[in-house]
Amino acid sequence: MRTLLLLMLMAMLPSAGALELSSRHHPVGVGVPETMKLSEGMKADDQGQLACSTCHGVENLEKRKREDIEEIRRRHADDFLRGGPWKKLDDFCFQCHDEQPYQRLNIHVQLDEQGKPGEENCKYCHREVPDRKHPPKRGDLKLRLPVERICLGCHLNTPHLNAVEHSRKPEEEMRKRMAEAEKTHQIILPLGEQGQVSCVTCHSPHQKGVIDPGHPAGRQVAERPVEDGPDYQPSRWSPIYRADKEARLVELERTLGQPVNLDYRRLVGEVLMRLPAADGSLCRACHQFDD
Amino acid sequence: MRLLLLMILLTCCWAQPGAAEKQEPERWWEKRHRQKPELYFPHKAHDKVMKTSGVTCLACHPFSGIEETDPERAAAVALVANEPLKAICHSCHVEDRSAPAQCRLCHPDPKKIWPRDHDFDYVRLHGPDAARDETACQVCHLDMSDCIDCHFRRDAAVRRKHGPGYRLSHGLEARMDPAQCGSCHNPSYCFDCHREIGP
Repeated sequence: MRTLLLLMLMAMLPSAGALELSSRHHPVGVGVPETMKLSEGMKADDQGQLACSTCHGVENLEKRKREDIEEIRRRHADDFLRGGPWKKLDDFCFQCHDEQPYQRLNIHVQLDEQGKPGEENCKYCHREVPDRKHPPKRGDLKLRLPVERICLGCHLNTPHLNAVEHSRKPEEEMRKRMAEAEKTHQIILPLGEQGQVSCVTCHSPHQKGVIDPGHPAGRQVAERPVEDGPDYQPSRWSPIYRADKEARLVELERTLGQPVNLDYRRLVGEVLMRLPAADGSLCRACHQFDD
Repeated sequence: MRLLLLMILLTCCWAQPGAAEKQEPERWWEKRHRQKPELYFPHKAHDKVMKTSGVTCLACHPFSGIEETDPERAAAVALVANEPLKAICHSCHVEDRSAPAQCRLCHPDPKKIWPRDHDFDYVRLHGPDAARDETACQVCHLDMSDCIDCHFRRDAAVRRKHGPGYRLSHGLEARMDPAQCGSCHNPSYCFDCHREIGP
């Protein structure tokens, strides 16, 4: 009896060196549905099932030890996934999977094709849909969360470089400049409840046209469709920028223990911004240098 | 005498708080202890060129999206992203010279950027290095005015190599090490005078 139990226990344990996939890894050994077409260069095994080599392009990967695989991954970081390097892992997945059902709702798309506002998206942030004809004062917006936290349900508090650095209370002198900029440009630069800069200080959460464009809260930069977001283009400064940062990035990568990618791309199309950032107007609404 | 000492002491004590009040507050670039405090980027001086060239604040202060979710790590990345280093500044100020090629504009204290072998008596010791690789000097001495001022300048108003009165005392040094004179002066420079007046 003991021997039988021991044998059962041994059968349940993974063999030494056998590869176990994490629960987050794509399953292998599953059939490819007829509706799905594998991307060029990807092949299922003889039974029509996904194998390691389908995505990784390394023969007999499943027979190798975990340490060996880690080494292969380090050496071939760029193309460990076929066709790499992949800037976004999602792009690799959407070669086979349909992207559409996985898209997150963009609640900033607030006008339909006829330009009429749909109220559904308003309720993600407002408890009650505000009257567009008579925009309420700030205290009557009935937001579900304090204004400085309202974006964080969907967005990270580190959405872009220098976001964290800006989330602070500006000094008196800067607040005066902001008030002047609000008058000059006829915009609003709203601060959080404790007077701190938040996402909505620079970004308008409303699609152009939802609020009367003549109203300071409705005035904004909208060079691109909200669905598309901002547009970045390659810049001639990119190689100079990379050369500039190289040594510091190597040092930083050593400290953080992970690769850091920094590249300079030219911002050529903006949307949902209270003032243009590409020409520095938005920066100058708060910052001024006498030297 | 005692009265005089007392007055001096009182004056010193009285003057100190006033002096402290007048102390200049730290400028923005002096506050950047973690980011090359010796480097000064004159924002205002760049204002006009930035407007006309299309290079804006975002060139040095990028706001592009990041995948990092930890604020501290994101801040560490932003610190590097925000820090203009050699290549960006030098692409205009050194390489294509579309901007003034004067090191002191951004590096007010040259001692902080010059090589460590420059720290001690390098004006006297630089000869062999310069003879071996003149281009190395030109990495910083862009227009070579520092070289020209000593090696070629001959006006009497500015004497950088030899102090005043050197004409009278140069004989001793010239006899000790004649080759040293020859590093700048050709023989005719000596003969022009010594032919007339003798040794």
